[in-house]
Amino acid sequence: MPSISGSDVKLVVIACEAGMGSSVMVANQLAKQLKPLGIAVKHSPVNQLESMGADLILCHRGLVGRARQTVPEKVVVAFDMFLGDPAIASVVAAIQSGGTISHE
Amino acid sequence: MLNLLAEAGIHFGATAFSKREAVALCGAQFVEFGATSQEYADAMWEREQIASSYLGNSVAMPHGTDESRKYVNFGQIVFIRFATPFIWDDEEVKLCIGIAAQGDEHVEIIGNLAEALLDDEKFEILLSTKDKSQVLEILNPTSV
Repeated sequence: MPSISGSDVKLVVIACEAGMGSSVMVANQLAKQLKPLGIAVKHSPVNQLESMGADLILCHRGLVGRARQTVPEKVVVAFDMFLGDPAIASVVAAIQSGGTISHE
Repeated sequence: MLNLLAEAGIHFGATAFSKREAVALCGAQFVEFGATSQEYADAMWEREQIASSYLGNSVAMPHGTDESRKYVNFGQIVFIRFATPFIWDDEEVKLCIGIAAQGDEHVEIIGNLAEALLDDEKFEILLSTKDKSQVLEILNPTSV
């Protein structure tokens, strides 16, 4: 199972089906927290993940299977809520502290 | 319509009894404005079958699939508030923000929406105001 150290994360990509709605909302929130740390946050449709060059991917639980199939070598973290999800908060904490991030 | 979100796309007191009706209302607006074709409106329902666009706080954000972006003639956002809440999966929905986008033109407005959902005062205004310009001030301040 892939894992990555928070200190190696330079680009986080939020994926959703269309890359139009929920991923935009989550990316916007996350960018506010990660930009000051020099980390880029982008959003993308799941089926374009391969070309994004992400170090770490976040996506809604319902799409996690597809995302992991698309980029099996990358860490894909699932979240359930578009606003204030604890999984996203722990990713931010791991990036800040250099902790390890893996699938769950 | 050049502006992504304008007064014409803001509705208070709409009626829907189901998620399907609410999504169809958003889609019908896009078609009426000429922002999308009916194919996009249909794809919005298809998108709901893949994953619910319910956001939390009694707000849903229906939009099409990646595939259906080709049916978008120009980007458009609609704000549809319902007179009576209805059930969306297991949640109660009072407000739908419908999105039709070709690229990233709508990102700023969605960011403003996220902020408003986390801000009690702004959220209360979105749920209760009868003044469309207040909605624009919160979601699309550069247009006011």
